Amino acid sequence: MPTYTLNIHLLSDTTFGRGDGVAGLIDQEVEHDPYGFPYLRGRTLKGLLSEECDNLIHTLPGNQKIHWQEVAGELFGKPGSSLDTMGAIHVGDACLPEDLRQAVAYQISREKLTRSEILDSLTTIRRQTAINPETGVPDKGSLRSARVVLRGLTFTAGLSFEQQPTDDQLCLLMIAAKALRYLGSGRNRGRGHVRCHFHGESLPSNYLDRFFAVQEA
Amino acid sequence: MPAILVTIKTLQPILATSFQGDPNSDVSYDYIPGSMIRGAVIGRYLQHKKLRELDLTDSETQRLFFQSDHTRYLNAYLVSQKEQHRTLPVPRSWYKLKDAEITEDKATNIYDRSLEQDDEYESLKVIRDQFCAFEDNCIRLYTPERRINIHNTRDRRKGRSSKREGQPHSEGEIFRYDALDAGQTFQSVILCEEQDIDLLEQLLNKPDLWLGGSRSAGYGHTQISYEIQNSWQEFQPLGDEEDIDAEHLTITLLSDTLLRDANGQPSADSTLIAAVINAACDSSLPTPEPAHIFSSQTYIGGFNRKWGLPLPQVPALAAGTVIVFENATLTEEQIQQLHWQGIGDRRNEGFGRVAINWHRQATFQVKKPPKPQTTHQQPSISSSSLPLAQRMATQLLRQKLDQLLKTELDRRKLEVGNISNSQLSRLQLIARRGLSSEPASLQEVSEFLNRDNLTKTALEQFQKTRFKQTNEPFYSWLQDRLKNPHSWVAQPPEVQLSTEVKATVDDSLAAEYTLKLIMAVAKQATKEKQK
Repeated sequence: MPTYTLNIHLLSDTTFGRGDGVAGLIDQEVEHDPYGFPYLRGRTLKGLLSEECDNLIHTLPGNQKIHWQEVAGELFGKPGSSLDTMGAIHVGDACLPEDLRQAVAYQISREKLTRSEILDSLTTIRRQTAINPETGVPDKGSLRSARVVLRGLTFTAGLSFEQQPTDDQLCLLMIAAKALRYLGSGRNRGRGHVRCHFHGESLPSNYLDRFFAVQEA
Repeated sequence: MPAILVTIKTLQPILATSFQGDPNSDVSYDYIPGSMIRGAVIGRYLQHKKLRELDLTDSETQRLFFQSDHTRYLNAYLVSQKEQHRTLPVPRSWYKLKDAEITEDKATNIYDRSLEQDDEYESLKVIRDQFCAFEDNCIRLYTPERRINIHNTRDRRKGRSSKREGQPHSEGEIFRYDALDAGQTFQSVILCEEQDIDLLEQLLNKPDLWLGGSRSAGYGHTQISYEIQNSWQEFQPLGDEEDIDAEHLTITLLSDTLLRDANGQPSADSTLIAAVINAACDSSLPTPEPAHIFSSQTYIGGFNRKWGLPLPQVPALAAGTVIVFENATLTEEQIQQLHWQGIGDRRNEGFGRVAINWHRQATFQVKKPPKPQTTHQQPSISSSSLPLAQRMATQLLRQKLDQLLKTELDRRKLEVGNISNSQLSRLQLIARRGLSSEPASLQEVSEFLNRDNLTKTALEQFQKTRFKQTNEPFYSWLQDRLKNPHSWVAQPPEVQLSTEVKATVDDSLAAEYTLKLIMAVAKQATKEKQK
């Protein structure tokens, strides 16, 4: 089973939202595992990579666009897919190092540490208000809080294939990883700035040239 | 007939969707359906034979995947912790006392109402756990772990969850996946013919297998292994055969069962079981009495990956249904045939498994499964993870120091009548300056509090001020803290993540937190004065 890895290095604080909060404490909690380690869901990551691909392919000229759209279709599949339109890639969750998680799990099992302590050690809480443009003062009832994962952490996701991916598929994934610069909540407002690296064996070296190469109609 | 025992370890949550919850949500079954395993094997068969589609007229294809009398893919149920056996659904005739609590250590009595309908216990409740296994001379009740994730659809152009073009009702679409959690082990069984063993072995030899919904996006990754057994039995009888009446026949459904009524319509009428068995084995079971039926209804559907569409939903009898036939017998051959073949529709997908006279005791003792044993050896951290581990340890240590600081502050309330706010503010300002130096230094505060540097009035104010709780002079307390910044931490906290990663309170950290304490005490007094 060919497996590649995607490293996501956080350049700014980031919120991997989980759709809920903690009553009385946080309006927006980050996704975290039973040991308190934040992680980015594979489902979200696949959506982000697919979106970056779509955006880039959209900028290509006609015949190139059709080719790469086909490659993207093979790679990511289509929603509600049947056997024919199933994606080739399996995107795993982007997590912090496994050995560290195991070490912490051991300490939690011995009741030396708690899940919330671990979560607090890797995150912080940000509070913000909305400012009324007319009066210049905070809007009433607009104070909210969100947990953010601290910058500087590196998350790793496994990308697996059941069969050896084609060079075009790998090329598209590398392009998507390069293009993925922002993720999570508030990504247009300074949060979630990331740098991604795609690792694995026998990756095409000239992926940028290959992607932007002008093809004859 | 040989049996292939397929052990499935979940590495990611599995979405084996059942008909529960909101339309947007997926709630998984408590097990991995046989149909899902059959689908995965079909996928591998297509790869193995390099086919795009199954040839439905091919005899091998029919025998392997579609003919219930030749190959059956049984549901993957949880594996028991101790003996690693496939657990089975809890019979619906098992009851416990209303207030009885089932724990992992103390055995609790349960009563099988199908064998003994004693009115002695009036307040009995059904058992909520889904699976059971006989271990350690009692029955252990198992319930699979689940994981609930919330997802939402995002409009790519707008960059947030909002109304999508052409879909006016899509705004704020949120959905919830209730999946079987990762890290659990299930076991399925493939009952097949001798001639198909080699092919099925080839199909099962790759350990990585993806099952269920959202397989390409963080769900469904499993690791499989298999074992072939020639004398496999789905269940072991519980209790002695002598304890059961020779003409007392108990049928327990070990999986959901699809039956059809006289008009050929799917039905969840439990009395149909007698007719189905009579037709299959040429027996003459009577219609069971209502008092001898412990059944429940469910709906069965599924998803056809070839069509890309869900299957029609049909009512079915739920696993665990128990039916007792009085004054009825089946021959040994008939019983073996029923155990091996099952009853009803879609038996090749694991439906219609039956156990005859499985439990023969009216009272059992049950426990919850023991908690998984934790490893005694402390895991080590690799060199690449060490910087992050050290950062976490430092942060955890700081959390503990913050907590100590709050506790200490509660015990350090000043009598504020003798000191002015300006002196307290000066102290705070100078402490802050010491805090901003790298590393934190107590030097500036020491110099500020030196008798020669303070004016007479200021010195008097510091000396006259005392703590409310201990009556200790503020000035001498400050001098003590500056001389020995470690002293206010009675038991210095320590964080150890592994043998390599440890964080302790060093001089710099002690100075930093002493400065924070001095600032906090002064600030608290300032606020007290303002009241």
